[in-house]
Amino acid sequence: MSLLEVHNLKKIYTTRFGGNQVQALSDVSFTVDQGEYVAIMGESGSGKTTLLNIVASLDKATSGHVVLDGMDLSKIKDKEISTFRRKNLGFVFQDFNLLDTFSIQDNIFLPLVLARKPFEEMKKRLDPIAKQLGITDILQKYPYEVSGGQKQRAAVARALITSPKLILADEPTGALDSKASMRLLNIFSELNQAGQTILMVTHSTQAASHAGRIMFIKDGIVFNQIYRGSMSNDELYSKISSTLTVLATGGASDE
Amino acid sequence: MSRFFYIRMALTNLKKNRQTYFPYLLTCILTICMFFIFQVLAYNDGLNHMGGGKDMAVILGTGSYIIGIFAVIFLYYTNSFLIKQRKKELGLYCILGLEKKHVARILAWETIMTYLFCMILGIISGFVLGKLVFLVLLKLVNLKVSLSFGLAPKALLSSMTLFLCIFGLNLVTNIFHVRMVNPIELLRGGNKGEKIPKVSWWLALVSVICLGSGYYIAIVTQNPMEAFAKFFLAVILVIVGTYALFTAGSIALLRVLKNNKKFFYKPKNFIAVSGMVYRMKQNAVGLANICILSTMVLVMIAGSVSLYVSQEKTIRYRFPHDLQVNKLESVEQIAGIDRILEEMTADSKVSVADEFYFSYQDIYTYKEDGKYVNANEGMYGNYVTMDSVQQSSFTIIPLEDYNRIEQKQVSLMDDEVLVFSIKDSVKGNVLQIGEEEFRIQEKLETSILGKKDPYAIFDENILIVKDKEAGERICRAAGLQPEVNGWTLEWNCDIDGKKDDCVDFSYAFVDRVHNEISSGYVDSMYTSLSGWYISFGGILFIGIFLGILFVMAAVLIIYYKQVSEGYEDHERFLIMQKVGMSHDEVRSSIRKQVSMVFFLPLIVAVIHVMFAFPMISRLLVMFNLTDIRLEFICTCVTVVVFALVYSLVYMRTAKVYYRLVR
Repeated sequence: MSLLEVHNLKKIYTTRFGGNQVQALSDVSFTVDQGEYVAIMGESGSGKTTLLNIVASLDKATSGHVVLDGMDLSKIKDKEISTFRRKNLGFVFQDFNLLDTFSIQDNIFLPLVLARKPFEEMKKRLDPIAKQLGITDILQKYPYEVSGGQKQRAAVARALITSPKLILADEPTGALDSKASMRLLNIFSELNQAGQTILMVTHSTQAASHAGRIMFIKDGIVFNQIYRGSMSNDELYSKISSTLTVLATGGASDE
Repeated sequence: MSRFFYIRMALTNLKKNRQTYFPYLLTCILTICMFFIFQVLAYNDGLNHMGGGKDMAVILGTGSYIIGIFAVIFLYYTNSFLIKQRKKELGLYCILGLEKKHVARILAWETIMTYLFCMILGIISGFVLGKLVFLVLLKLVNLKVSLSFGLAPKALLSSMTLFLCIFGLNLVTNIFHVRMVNPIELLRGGNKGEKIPKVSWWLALVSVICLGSGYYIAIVTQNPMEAFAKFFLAVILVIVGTYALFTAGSIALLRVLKNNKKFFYKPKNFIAVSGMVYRMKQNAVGLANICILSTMVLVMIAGSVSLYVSQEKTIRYRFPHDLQVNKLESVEQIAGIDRILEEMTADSKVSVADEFYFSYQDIYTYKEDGKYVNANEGMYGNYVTMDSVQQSSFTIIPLEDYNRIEQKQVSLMDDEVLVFSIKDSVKGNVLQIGEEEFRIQEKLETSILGKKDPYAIFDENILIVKDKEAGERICRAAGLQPEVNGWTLEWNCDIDGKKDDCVDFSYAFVDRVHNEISSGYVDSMYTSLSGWYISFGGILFIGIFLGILFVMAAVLIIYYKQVSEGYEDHERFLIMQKVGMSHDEVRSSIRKQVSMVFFLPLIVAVIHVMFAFPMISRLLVMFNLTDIRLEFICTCVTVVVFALVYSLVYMRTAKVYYRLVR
């Protein structure tokens, strides 16, 4: 059963006075099934972040539909969009987006506080997640007191605490060193094995090699897809690498 | 690199930073303008040559010193805020390859340009506004003399020098700032998170002690002279206490709020309280500044408005009767005065009422063990010292004169007296002066001779004695030789008519008595009026102007707080929206945070004013102002008007903040 359906998505950015038009997405269609772990790859400017923003309902498509769990995002009223986002989606960003004004624990609580959940329930939800992510010890610290890897795990905890249907990750390893990256990717794999659906945008081959399926986006369309099948991470890694090489050298329509 | 490069850079910088620079420039211009106006007025030749104008010049000169000191502190403070905001920009220049001396040169050009710009606009607006202000001042002090508001070179020079020094000081600070830090630090700027500080119980204790003792002094001090001496002590205690209160108190309060899980984990509180904790220290000082400035404005304006509004009443206290001649030597002189009065009323619209005279002798004593003793030094005129306040004075009047004036038939024994005590300070039935005792036959409740006033500064009493011999006995008992002082006569009378007529009449009367009666001091309420108007009008003028200046300062601090926090919070609210916060939630949480921060100083300032009120009203007694009800009304009106202005500023700046955050 597909959790997320994206139909013929098109996005055109227009400069303020209608001068230049830039086509970020031409015609993107794909589906993500419940429990899948999908990585989206592509070069800078290929439109992958635009795609993620539209799926996240942070941006609106020029045409096309995004359907999450049977609900068309474009049909949701502006007033309810925040609530919808809070309930159904969890975000992990490249630059963590933790708030300096809150302790790690309060950062994680933020979506639940906005949903007006009582403190006891928040605490009950947090404990197992914090344990799994190994951040129990730093819950009372502030973001500027902990390392990048710890920050990103805190951000993952914030994404998980609402038990969202879909986790959206935008270059989650982009600001991390290799060790912290590995640890985060392993956590993502564990979460996925436990049934969590994840959609991740990245241009790190290593990050993508943890996913179950990799979609390549180029010039605003889904150019190619690779399924893991029975491949190991390393095999998948070399497959991705060669695909990227093809993408960069031969596959361009305008070269 | 050509010199024009730096000029161009400096110009673009100013343009780019206009959101923060515009209010700063406006403040500079207004401060220059006000300082210049005060200086011109103080140096005004016309003012110096006219009666009472000297006092006015002194008052205005003092006012301009206060503005000068204030300008130094305030513009320095604002500048240091501005340079902090620009750290990132300056850091970028360093990274792009400008050496520090080049950055310093750009900063120097910026300073020169802002200095010239502010100076020119400040002087021009000072000149234009000054004419208007001058008219207002003349109106306030009731002078009909036509004086011109000229461009005094001295005033121009002193304004230019003062502000050159201030701008120079700021430039040096800025350059020092740039020199001290490396580009990376500059780039990062000032936004490092603040940890929630520990509650400093020591500081909390200081705040409680300082505020408590400040308030205590304000409430307990009864004696006006003492109030004057202790006023500044109380002010300093309250200022220190306010800083400590906002630093320690706000931390303690937020701690408590944060630890209350039920309260803290509500969407609005969650964001507001965390935001405040984050900027705790900065907030504390800024809020304390706003609070202290607000208190100053309130106290100053309430005090000077009360004084001005009640001035006629106050003058009445000093002159119970319109015309007065005292220290007369003989009844013949009284007849002379009567003749003058008759001649004058014959061809005037003014009519005479309540004319009376009596002979008297004054003694001054200290109270010791219930006895009045040791009356060596007399008290003349209005010289107020701690000594004279502790004295009790007795005006001794023979029964004969009293019966004549009051049209009564009282009779007294040799050692009996009637007492009229202004402050009701004479207790019991026996008056002991030196070693002698006098029986008090009656304590008079009312008399034409004076009015009772429990708040009077001086302990004045009137004694009615059987005859002059009995009066001399009292003098000797008090240690005085009655022959030295001697009996003199005092003559009083009231006049009725239009105010202008009365004024003319009084001037003519004073003139004639002065010329035609060989001894005696003549004085009248109407001739003294102009002097009083000058003092009170001058005080009101300065009160209002300093009030405006301080309000401006408070407004600017509020504005800068909003702008700087708006920039910082922009990012934060973006993140919150990504995590699932709606626009409305953002708006309402902002409103909560901002209003919590801004109405706190106002509330504390009003509390300060409430406690200061008893002390101010006691200070105003020194100006013979004793109408507490009127003072209370003036204070209330001032507080309400100020609160309205404050709310207006709050609403304007909250809008700016919201625009930045969105």
